[in-house]
Amino acid sequence: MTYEIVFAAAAALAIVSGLGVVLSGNPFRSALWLILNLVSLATFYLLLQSDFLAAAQVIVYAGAVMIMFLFVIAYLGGAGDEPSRDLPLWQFGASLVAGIALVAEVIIAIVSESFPGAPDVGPNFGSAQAVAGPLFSTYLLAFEVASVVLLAAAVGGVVLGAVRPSPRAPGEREPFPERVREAPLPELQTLVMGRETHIEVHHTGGEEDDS
Amino acid sequence: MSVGVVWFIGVSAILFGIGLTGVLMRRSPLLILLSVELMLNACNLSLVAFSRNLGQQDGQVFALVVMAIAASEVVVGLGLVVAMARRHAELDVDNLINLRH
Amino acid sequence: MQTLSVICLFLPLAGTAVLALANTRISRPAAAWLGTAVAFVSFLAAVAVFFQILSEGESQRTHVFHLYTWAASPSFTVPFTLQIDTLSVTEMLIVSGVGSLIVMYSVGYLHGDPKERRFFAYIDLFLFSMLLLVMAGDFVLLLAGWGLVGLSSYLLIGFWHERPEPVEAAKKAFVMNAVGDVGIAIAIFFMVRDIGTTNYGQVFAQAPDVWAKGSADANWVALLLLLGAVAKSAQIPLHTWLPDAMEGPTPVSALIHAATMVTAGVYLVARAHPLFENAPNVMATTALLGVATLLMAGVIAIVQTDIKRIIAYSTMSQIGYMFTAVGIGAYSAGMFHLLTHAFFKALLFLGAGIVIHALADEQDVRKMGGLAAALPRTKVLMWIGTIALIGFWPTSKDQIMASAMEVGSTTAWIVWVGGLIGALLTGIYATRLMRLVFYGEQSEFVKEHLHEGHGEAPWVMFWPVAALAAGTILTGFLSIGFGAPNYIADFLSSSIPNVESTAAQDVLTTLIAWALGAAGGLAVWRLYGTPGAVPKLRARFAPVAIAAEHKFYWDELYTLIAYRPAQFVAVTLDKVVERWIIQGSITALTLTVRDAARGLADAQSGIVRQYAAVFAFGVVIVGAYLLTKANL
Repeated sequence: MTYEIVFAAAAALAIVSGLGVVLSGNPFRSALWLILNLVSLATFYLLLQSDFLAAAQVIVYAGAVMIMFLFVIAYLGGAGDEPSRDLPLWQFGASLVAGIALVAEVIIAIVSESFPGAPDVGPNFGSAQAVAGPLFSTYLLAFEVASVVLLAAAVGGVVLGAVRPSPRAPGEREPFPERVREAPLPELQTLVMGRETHIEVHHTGGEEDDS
Repeated sequence: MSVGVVWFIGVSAILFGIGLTGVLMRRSPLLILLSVELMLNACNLSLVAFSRNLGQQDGQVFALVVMAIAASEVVVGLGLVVAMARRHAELDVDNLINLRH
Repeated sequence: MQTLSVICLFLPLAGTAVLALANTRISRPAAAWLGTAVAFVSFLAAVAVFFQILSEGESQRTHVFHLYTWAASPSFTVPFTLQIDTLSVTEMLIVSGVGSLIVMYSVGYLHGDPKERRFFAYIDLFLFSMLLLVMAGDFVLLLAGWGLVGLSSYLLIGFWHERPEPVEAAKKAFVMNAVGDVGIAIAIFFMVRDIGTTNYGQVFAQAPDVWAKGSADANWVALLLLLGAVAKSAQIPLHTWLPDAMEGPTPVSALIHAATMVTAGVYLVARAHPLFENAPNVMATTALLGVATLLMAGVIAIVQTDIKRIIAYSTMSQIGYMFTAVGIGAYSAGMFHLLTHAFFKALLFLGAGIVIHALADEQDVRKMGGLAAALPRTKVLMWIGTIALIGFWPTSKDQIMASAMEVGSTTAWIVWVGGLIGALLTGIYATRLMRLVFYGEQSEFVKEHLHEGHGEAPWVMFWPVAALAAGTILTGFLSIGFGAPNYIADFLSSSIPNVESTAAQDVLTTLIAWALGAAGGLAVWRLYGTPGAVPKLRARFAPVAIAAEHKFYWDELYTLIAYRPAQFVAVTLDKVVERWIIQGSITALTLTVRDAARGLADAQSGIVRQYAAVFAFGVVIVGAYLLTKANL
């Protein structure tokens, strides 16, 4: 009984906070809603007996990644807000349609499928040891690749964040690249066919070499 | 688990849909990143749910790796946003069209 | 003899090749003299052949040399055959002899022209082509030479191609000649179909058997050959190209359009006389065409104002006489007139060239006058030519008409009357030419420009003209008429027949002709001596004068019935087929591809959200598809 109640509560929380992320006007608020969402997901993981993952979720995701987000949002201040132009209605509608359609498809797919019941697992199902087993044996390559990706990301972060000294007066803008203008295409016919031919008497002019 | 795996997947799908809508609707790169995080987490949820359903930890390993990758992606993404902000560019994804033909 | 004939024929071609390949590597005088030397050596070869022929008995004077087989198929072969007989050797002498004199004259006339070398290459090409024409032993080879002389004529008329008039004239000449070429070609088809060969000997032997005399086929063959002859010789109705051809340099007018090429039609009829005799109606047509042409051309010549065009129409008229001769069967008389005409007409043209040169390239006779003192020697030489033209000496023209009396048919009497009227007309225009150019007061133009010109001719131009004058006088002795021995007819008798007139007929006809010619000349002299008489006379005959000045509207007629339809078809084809359909379809294709590419390119907008949306919708659609496939 408790299980279902916790599940329902967590589900409600997840959905509400998800909506909050998307619908919130303020990036700061969106980030906070996302943290709430992550916590609700951690609850889900616990319900699924994946305690290590739940812990990792809270520590890494909610604790590190979201803090990073919050730092950047704080740094940007007002610049991080949504640009002020309105979204055309058709775009709004299309996005909704895409999202709802996808959800509908998935639900239809899983509802029509019958899944076998979950086997009973011991208390160590989601422990760190249990997760580490496949991680360091069967999926060792994935682990290593993930390490490399993390390294690349770290390097990338440093590079992107580097401040390049520019010979410019303080306060002057670095020019942002302009839109590429569309080059006009020459009249295609002239391009392909050359000059037009005419029917007329062809008067040869000019000297040829002596002969 | 007394709640069927279908319910978990359903929640995951709903979260994914919400995240997708967010990606398509929003114009600030920051918010798009947040929506992408939402989508990623929804995937994680379904992974873990199936992992439990099958009685193996493979799904959890997958989810762990996804978390790592998501973290890297956020690093790079935020780096980009900060770099743009430093150049006083308006943080509007619709303006960033240098890859236009 | 074969070797000599081959040398005579191919040496000019070699000259052309050398001049064309050497191009600017040799100096202009060197090129000019090389071209001339080649012509002279060819003439010497022809002379040698002539003497060899002379030394043979009459029955052995026809030689056929098979050089090689040009084209061979199981049913039909085209050999490269030369036929050297009295007719062809006469023509060889005329072409190479008069030709080399004219080429020598060109050395002076073309001196200083920037394209001088090209001229001599072309002239040698022409000599080769004309010699091929007269030495051919086969109709196909004749046609080859025929076409080549047409080409050479085109190249030489349009020699000064920087101006539009020579270019137009060259095209006109070529196109009208092409009509004639078609005629000969179709006649050849008849021969191939019915006889199986185009060799002269065999065709002439079998023709009366294969095509009955006067039958439709016989008439067609002769008529088609006549079409070719008419085009090449500028007779009615294909005559309009000849006056325009005067745009070419004067030596060209002399050689091609007076002495040799335009007489090729006469040669053809004489050569193919068995085919013509097989179609008497066509022969009558030939004679009547000749009469019509000689009269019309004579009238037009009276009102012409360009010195070269006067002589051109005179040429047209004299060839008309030759056509009447071969049309009534007096082939040798026609050839004799061809021979004398070659000399005196070339003489007149080259003399006119000296006048033109002296007046710094002015050709309008109305601006000339009083040149007798300035150009005395030219005057004398041109009088020799004029006397020959009117028919006083040689008497070749008169002998044609006398032969007509002998033939006695209706056609022949028409020829006789027409020829005598023509003599009157000839007297008028020939004297008019001399009177306007050399006598009277020196016009303003002359006084101003005479010193600008080249003066009386340099030796390289003068001596050929003098030689031509000597030739004019000497050839008269080949057949004096009045019953004297007719050497030329005797010589040619092994190749072509003739109609001999009696002494009485000769005397009668010649005296009438002389009287009429003299009358015309004297009348003109008095007329131009009286101030104001000429305009009054013109006013009295205004309609005729106007029609004559418009050349009897032949050009307008051809423009209407030939040129305009052709132009319309060409323009329509260009506008509709070329631009619309062909070019338009290609353009439409390219524009379609471009628009499609543009449309596709719009997908690359660079907007990330668009890409994401496409992505998302793609997933939705694929998912939907998979769902439908799944067993739900």
